[in-house]
Amino acid sequence: MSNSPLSRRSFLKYIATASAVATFPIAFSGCQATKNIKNYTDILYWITINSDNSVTFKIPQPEIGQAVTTTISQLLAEELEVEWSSVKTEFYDPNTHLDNNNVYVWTPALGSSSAHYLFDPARIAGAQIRVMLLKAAASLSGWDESDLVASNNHIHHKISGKKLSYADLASTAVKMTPPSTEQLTLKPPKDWSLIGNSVERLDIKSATNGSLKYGIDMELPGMRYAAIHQCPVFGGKLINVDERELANLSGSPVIVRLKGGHVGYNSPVPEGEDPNLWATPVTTSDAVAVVADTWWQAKKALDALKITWFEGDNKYISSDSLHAELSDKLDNTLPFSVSRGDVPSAMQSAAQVHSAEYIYPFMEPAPLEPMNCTALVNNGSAAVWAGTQYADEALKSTAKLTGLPRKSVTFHMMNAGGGFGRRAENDYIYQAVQIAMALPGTPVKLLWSREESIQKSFYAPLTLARYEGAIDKKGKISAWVCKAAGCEGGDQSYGITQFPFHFSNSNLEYDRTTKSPIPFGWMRGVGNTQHTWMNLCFLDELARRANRDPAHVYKELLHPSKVPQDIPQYDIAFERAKTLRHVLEETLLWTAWDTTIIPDGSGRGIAVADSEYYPGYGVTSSKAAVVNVTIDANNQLTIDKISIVINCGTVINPNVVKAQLEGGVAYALTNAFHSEITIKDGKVQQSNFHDYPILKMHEMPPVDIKILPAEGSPLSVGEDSLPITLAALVNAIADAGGPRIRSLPIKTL
Amino acid sequence: MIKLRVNNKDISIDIDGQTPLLWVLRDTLKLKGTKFGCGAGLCGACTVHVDGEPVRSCSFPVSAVGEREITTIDGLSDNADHPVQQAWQALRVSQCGYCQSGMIMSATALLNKTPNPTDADIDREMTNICRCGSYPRVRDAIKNVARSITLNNTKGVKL
Repeated sequence: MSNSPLSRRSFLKYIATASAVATFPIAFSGCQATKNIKNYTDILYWITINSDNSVTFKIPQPEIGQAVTTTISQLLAEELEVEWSSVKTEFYDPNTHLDNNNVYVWTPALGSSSAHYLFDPARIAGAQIRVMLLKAAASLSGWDESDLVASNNHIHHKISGKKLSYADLASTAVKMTPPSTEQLTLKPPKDWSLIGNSVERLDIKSATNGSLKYGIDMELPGMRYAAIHQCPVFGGKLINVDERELANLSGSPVIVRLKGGHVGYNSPVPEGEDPNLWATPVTTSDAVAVVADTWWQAKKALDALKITWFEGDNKYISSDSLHAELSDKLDNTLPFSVSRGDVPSAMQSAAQVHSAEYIYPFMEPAPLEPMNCTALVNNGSAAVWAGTQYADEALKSTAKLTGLPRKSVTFHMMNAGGGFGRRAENDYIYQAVQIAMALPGTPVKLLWSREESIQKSFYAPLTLARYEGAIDKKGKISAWVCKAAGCEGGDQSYGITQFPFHFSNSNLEYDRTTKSPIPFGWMRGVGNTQHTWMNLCFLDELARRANRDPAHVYKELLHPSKVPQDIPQYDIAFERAKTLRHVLEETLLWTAWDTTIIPDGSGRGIAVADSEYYPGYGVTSSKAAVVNVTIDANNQLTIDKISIVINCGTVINPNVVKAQLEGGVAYALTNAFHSEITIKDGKVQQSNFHDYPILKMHEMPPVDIKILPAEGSPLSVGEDSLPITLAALVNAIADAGGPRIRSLPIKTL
Repeated sequence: MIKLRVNNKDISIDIDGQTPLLWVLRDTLKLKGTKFGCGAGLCGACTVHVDGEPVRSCSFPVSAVGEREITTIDGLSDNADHPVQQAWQALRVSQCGYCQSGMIMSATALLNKTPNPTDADIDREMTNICRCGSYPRVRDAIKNVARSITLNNTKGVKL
């Protein structure tokens, strides 16, 4: 079993589906597209040509702020040859996707992979439709197809100078046989006009005047509003609700009791894989919802209720008890291990042996828009409106819950006020549908409070790792030992096993069997965040103990000759080392690492990583961070600057890439200084932004970003600046004479 | 009945005076631009102007508004062309965009009071949370507006 969200096998399957776009029947709206008819023509699902000659792209991805609406549109528009100002977007319909054997190729927003997976399919879809429009123009006009060229939403006849608009051609074009991918010639990069340019985000205006519609903004005639309180202890049961208070309250409040249970999974599970190891089962707790005329009335009524819970055995759990459990595990042999060389001998002959324990706490992703969903269940049909990172699953679980055929359920994707992994779990959608089922015919909008959003989330796991390293008489690292365990529900050990640095003697031991009673979920950066942070900090510790510049140690270790000849998939490991070394060298040059003198009281740290889930995953970027800090006489830390260098393949929109990397830095700094979820008596102790703070303006340092020129498929950018920022920051603090931080968040120096 | 003046319109509503202004705006008046983030005045997503002052409407009972004028993001301009909005667009500040209504209202209030804010002024007044981390661009956008105010004032144009 592979450890990643998407195996090589399924990746190939998706790519095969991409070329199959050509063979799907054309969807046709039933109305001819002429200038006089307002209806539109739908070609090959991805693209609609409107009667005013504008185009509508159906974006097969959730918009959670990563600008996927814009970047996928750039890919489609590039090959379709349309004016950027004529582009409109809407979200894909999961039913169409599932009915047509994954026609949109890759739909969940997971693992920063959308640009990578959709780079070819979106361009192919655009090119196919361009060819069909060219053929339509030739057949309608009698012009020779070789004299025709597509540009600016028109087919131009080069000889006569005449042109036909896409709108005029669309109804003929849909009847053409789509060309196969072999018959298509995609534009070479030198001819790109949209790809590679920082075109304006399509949603930028609406994001500045309040008109961008998020799930929370959904309104329907006759809609009622629901507030929810879930059993504060995970897995607890509802015993009783005293409803007497409700009679005196305004807004006609009514109670709906919700039964907790298994809702689905937070990632696609490839055929034949064990879903419980591959993804994470999403479960809800028992809950009480109050439905009223306004959300405020519903919330007031909910707060007035006396609710009795059966808290079960989980009430004896605390973060301390979970920490102790993990610690005990590390005292013993762990179930999985990968070894190389002879660690005991290397330890014995070492000039220095150093060991350390690292701790990463539970964290909550905390997107700013609280969880919400609007649902309407009628006799024989259901409709759902929500922001989610995984709409296909939301649709399927709604069908299952209501007992309706999938095609009787409509899922409307809304913009999401952030995702960061939290919206991969569709628990709030499931609950909204449960409530709507209790009130058939009435649309209901369920909105969680911030307190519910923090206390009933899915958490990055509490993770412990013990390291031991040996430095030989020549000052080289001669052995590397890492033993790690976390409160997981899904596997995050790839952060340890896919460390791209190789040592002659190493032993990696890990546990992926601990089922956490605290719901586990994806959080921006996932398993690479905690493990890459730990790995690169301990490596920095060893380098400093050997009196060597950590950057030079990285460079030495990443020399392709250090990749063991007998390693499985040697070629992949070799390429990784080569690319990372190049990124590191560029970083050293750009930040003048070797020629800068750092004054006393200041320090700098460096980290370099990719974030591979398994050899050959091929989606993640190679990147490095340098963090410069100053610690003053009062032990006050200032981050002077953070520099990020990345090789992320072809860049579709440089401004978007920079925004993602800046955002990742801010996210990393929140993790570094603020984020810690603790558990007591089975309950999350934090409740809102006063005790679970998010980084603010005054804490944000300047960020410099350098995108290295590169070719090939676009690679990840959403999660990439997280682990390297964390590691470089902690290394910089040590370099400046501060303490060696081995536990997050950093509270005091 | 509570009388309000919102985005230059007079409105009368029959509502419990303790209802936070946010929910009156969003659920009663259907002005959806102002966002709910925390319900405790901690994140600033719900920032609106009450007589030009930035107020966190999730923690501000509607009865406390009195005669004062309310401006929300929905009423800041007709075509998303207020100078602050334009500066936001030019620097592509927003990512998910959810906090930006509140950010823009806070920034506008800051610039109205302090047309040429220092970094320290920005740090002190801009306490809104952006989970996507748009802070460097928010700072730059505010400074760009400040620069254009300085330029425009010589031509007699006011923000």
